[in-house]
Amino acid sequence: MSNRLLGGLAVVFTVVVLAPATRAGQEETYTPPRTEWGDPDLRGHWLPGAYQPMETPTGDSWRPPEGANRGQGAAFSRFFEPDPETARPERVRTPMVVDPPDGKIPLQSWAAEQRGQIMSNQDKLEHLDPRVKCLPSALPRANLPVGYNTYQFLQIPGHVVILYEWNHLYRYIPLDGRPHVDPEIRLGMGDSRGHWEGNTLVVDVTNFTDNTWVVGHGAPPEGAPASALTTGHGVFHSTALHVVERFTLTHTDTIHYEATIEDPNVFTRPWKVEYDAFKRAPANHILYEYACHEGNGRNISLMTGTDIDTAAR
Amino acid sequence: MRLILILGLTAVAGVHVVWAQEHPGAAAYQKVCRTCHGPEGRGDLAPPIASMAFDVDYVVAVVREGYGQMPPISTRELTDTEVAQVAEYLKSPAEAQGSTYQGPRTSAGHPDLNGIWQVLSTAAWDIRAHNAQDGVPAGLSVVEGRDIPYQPWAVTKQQENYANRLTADPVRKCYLPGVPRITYMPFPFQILQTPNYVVMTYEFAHTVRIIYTDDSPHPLPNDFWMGDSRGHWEDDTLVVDTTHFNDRTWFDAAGNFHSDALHVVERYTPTNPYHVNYEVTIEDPEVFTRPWTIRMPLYRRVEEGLQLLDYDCVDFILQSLGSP
Repeated sequence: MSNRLLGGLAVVFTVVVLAPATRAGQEETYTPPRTEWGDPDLRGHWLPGAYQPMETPTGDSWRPPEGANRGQGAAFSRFFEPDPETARPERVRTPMVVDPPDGKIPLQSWAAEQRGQIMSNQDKLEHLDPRVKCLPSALPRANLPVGYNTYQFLQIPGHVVILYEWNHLYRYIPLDGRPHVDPEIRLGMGDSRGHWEGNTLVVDVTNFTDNTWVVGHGAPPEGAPASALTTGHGVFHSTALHVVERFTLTHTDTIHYEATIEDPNVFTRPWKVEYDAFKRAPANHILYEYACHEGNGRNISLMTGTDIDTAAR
Repeated sequence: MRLILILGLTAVAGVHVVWAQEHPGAAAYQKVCRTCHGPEGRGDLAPPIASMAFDVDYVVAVVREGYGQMPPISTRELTDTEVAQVAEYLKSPAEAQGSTYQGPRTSAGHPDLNGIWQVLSTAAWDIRAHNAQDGVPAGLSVVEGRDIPYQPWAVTKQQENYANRLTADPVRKCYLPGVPRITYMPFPFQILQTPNYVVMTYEFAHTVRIIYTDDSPHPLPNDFWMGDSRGHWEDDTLVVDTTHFNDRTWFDAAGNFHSDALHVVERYTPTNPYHVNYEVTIEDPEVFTRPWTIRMPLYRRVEEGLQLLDYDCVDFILQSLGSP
């Protein structure tokens, strides 16, 4: 491990320790506006927050070759080094994973091995990123900063609704304390049940499928060894996935987001990500139609050897 | 007892709602009377006159001679026949307002459409009259006047589409179904109604329509599978104007089609908390000889604990094409 990397890590750990105190302070001083019916008001259009590495990297520090496509939003060990193009003030170097404190996703050992397989075999169909297939993002992945995604939050009494531009996903979050849907039911974006704790929207999400990933953002740069990636790619889950989210308006233009992730079939313990996920969009922003699958014919043909436009079902 | 009677009459009157705006007196009223009495006869500069059940001779007398602040109105402005029609039009407050809706309203005063809805018809397979096939129920035409006014070349094209429908139907590839087809897909959909947006989320392939009801215009000329939808309320009717389509969607699984010049105007008119009259005018000068209309009811789903579930079409098609 190079000295430069060690220096970077020291900075990271300092920030990790200090960050929660700052955030708590913000929550105390900022009073969010309320809807006409008295709920904290999250309504509006939102953009993704700053790109940020998911995990503290393991293995070798890796640099993309000169001139290579570095992958949009991909976070790898270079994030922890001084940035030669320092004009990226929005880059946040702290890992999103705040618990466990080492900033690493607590995969069971077989799952860590499986993740390595997935990451090293992204050209194989069975390991392909489910988002490349235009399957739902699941959670908290849908709330990670990636390109081609913006958000619209809507509220009516008793409901918060989140629209995701990427792949026209949506979530109805009822706030009336109703129980989760039948345990037999599987939902790509999970089954959301919310309530307010002070100014924070707390959402309990269950009933996920098992064909999506928990996290992952951007595209990994070509040739990057899995051990150097911090994007959270390849982190699969079982149908036992349980996510508890906390959305807090900490500033007029920022929604701070926390997600506690639990899946006893895949992780050794619950873990938590925390970051500023949503930045208020300019006044004229709207969500456009993101027709994912409709433009995916070439990928589908590579995946299946079939031309979807002439295929019978 | 009286309340029951009123509700009963309302239910009967509801049958006529769709045609209320076509009442012969409506145009005359809008031309002359609305300036002072308001668009719905509820009064503005002049007193309310809707629902007063005036005698026709009395109305004619007041119109010709004037009354209080109201000036006399000549036969050049309104013929005697038109005055009589206006009088008839005013007799039913509900019909004068284009609505018999009795039910919850939002804080903005519009009928509250929030909730889960579904069409019960066979239009998803064929919007025209059709006999049953394996897996397809028979159905009557939802097209006003029965037939779709295709241009001659388009008749041939539709027949080709029909013959090739098992491979050519865009919905069989899990492509977004377009408008109005998404409405009558055999899946529930949920309406979220706020002052500036009416958002329709559909169980089929998690399709979303964001309908802007904030007086904003259509955007730059991009094309979309689901078009660009701008809405406004006309009395108790949500009118949605949708343009900017591509030419890749169909109206049903029977190959009825359009070009990218498609212009769709939907009218959602609730008659009570549980039923919406859904009327769609379809215009496409590239394919049809004239605009045409389809009609069907939307039914509110009332099952306790109901919520939209998933029909992740993409997952199914990838599996059927051999993806793991």
